[in-house]
Amino acid sequence: MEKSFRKYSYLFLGLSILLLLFFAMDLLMGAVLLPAGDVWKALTGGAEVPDYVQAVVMNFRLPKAITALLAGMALSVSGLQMQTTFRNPLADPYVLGISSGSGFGVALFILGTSVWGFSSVLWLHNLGMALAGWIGAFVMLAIVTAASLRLRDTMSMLVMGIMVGGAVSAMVGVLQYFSEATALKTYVIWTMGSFSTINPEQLSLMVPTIILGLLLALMTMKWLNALVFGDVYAQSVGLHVKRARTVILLISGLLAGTVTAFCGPIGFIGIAVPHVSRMLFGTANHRVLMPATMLLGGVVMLMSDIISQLPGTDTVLPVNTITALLGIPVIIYIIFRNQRGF
Amino acid sequence: MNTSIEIKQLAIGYGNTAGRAKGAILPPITATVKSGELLALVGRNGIGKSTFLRTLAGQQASIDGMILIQDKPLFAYTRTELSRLVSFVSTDIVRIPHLKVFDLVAMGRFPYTSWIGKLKVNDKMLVYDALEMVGLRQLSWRNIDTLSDGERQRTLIARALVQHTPIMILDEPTAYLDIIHKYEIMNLLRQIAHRENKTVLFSTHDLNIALNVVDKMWIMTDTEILEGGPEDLVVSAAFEKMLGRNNLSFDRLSGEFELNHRLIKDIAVKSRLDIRWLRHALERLNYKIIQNPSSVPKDTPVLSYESNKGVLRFQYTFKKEEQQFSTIYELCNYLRSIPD
Repeated sequence: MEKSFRKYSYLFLGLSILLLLFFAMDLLMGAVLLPAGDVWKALTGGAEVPDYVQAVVMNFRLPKAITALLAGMALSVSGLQMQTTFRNPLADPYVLGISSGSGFGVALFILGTSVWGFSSVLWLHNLGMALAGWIGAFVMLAIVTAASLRLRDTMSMLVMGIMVGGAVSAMVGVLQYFSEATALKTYVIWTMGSFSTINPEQLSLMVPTIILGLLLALMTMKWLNALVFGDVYAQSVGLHVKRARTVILLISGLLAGTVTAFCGPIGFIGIAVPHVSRMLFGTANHRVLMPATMLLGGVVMLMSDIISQLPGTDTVLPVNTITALLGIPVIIYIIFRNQRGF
Repeated sequence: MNTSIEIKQLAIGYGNTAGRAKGAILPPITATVKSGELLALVGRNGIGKSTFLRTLAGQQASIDGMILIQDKPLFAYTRTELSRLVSFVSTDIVRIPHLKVFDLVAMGRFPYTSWIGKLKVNDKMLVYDALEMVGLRQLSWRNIDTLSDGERQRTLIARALVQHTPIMILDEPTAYLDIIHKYEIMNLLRQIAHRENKTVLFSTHDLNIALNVVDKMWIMTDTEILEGGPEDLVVSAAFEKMLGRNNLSFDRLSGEFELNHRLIKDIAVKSRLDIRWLRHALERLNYKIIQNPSSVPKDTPVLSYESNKGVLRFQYTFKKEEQQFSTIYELCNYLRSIPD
């Protein structure tokens, strides 16, 4: 026993160090490499910092790093919650179509405002984006949950997610056809996923929401530890299965919906990170897995962001492409290894 | 001994669930279990044993009637209270990657831990004690998918043990196991019932093993539940009622079910030895045995069976033709080669 617990502590320590390291690297690296000393002074409000460093760090890189960190944590935790509640190793907000639902809400909002032609106040616009994302996510979650009661097997659920995703993109396609060029451009950029387009108002809405979601998620660890055994065992130890599942999925939808609304649909992190955490820690205990997934999610997303910058160049790749390239191999590995179910 | 579970006119079945026939699946059930008893529920496949057990465990609502657990109706308990009274081991195979034996067992502490689920020193000790009792202390930190079926079943029993309930209900705990492990599991359940004074109730198809270990049995038939000590049930011909119409019979001496053979050919057997297993083989080949007859009818074959210094010898005589064999297997091969 003691061996396991020591192993967990080392891994948590390692992940925390990596997290700090990548966060720092994300601040330093970009189109231009900034000296660490200047960045530190800019952060701590020290004197003698070149104005451009101050501006780049405070207005651009810090918000972006925070966004990446929180988005990674939120999507990974959301994925873990969905995998356990649906007892489906390949569940995550992206695959189950939750991101699509959220995206549809955002598309309706971005493209719809142009179609219906009302101009929006900025903060209202931000709140509107978030609301549209949440509503889309929750509606989709309700559909998927209803379906999960009838579709018991893993594959049907995934096919269902793909179908719904397809239906949503078709509807978005129709919307695009009728929308203005500027709105269309905003929407297309949004679909690529980005942490750098976020503005301070959006950040002030996203940060508290995700932190709240993550804290609430930590409170569901005990429930998840029961739910992973299936409804019969969860109920026999006294869990109110329906209530617990509803609460967990609401938290999960809040997390995924928020990230999708502000950063665009970011795939594969939600599936891959919880699995890598399971392998790394060698446990199915959510009291270890939840914080592990949170930390690893942050690390991976910061890493993806650093890579997407192509440090030292002006080129920025969509974050989507990086997360896909990192996540898909893991998922394929899981499919081959987990032939026999969850 | 006080009554642990009392069942009065209970109707079990399904409400309006898709794909199931609505309504009670059996006539009303009335039965009791005392605390500290090991009880086996037997009955043919599909008769409703699992539904019955799930209903008793509070997993499924009953349609009518009453279940009293420690003199209070089941529905009057909250879910948390019930989780401290009744633990349940289902037939589902727990298949979760990276799940450690310890963590699986610790899940049984759910009703007692705080909202965050942290295990206190006491909880951990109980987990190790339970693992010790089922003989898996050394495997505490193994992955669950590296265990054998018997070890996995014992892990699930340990999980139910740490739930610390006066009643433990298990749905077919001996399914998938070989005969040695079936005995081992039933013996373990007996220890739990008698040493820990728990009511242990399980369903099984391993009737002959159950006959040897349990205190009480419930036999589920299409019309009623017959309850009693296993010996009482044998004596009162209760098992025969379980059989229905097929070519099986219940041997009250051995406590075993046997296939009824159509004994259409006569054979005379002359021997001073115990011919129990020889009879077994001959009946399998539809021979009716006439043992040590004073005179043998002309068209009846004669088999003499003797032992000479530990070497067995079977001599088959029919119409003055003689054949000799040293094993029952060879004898049977020959008998089967004779055209009818």
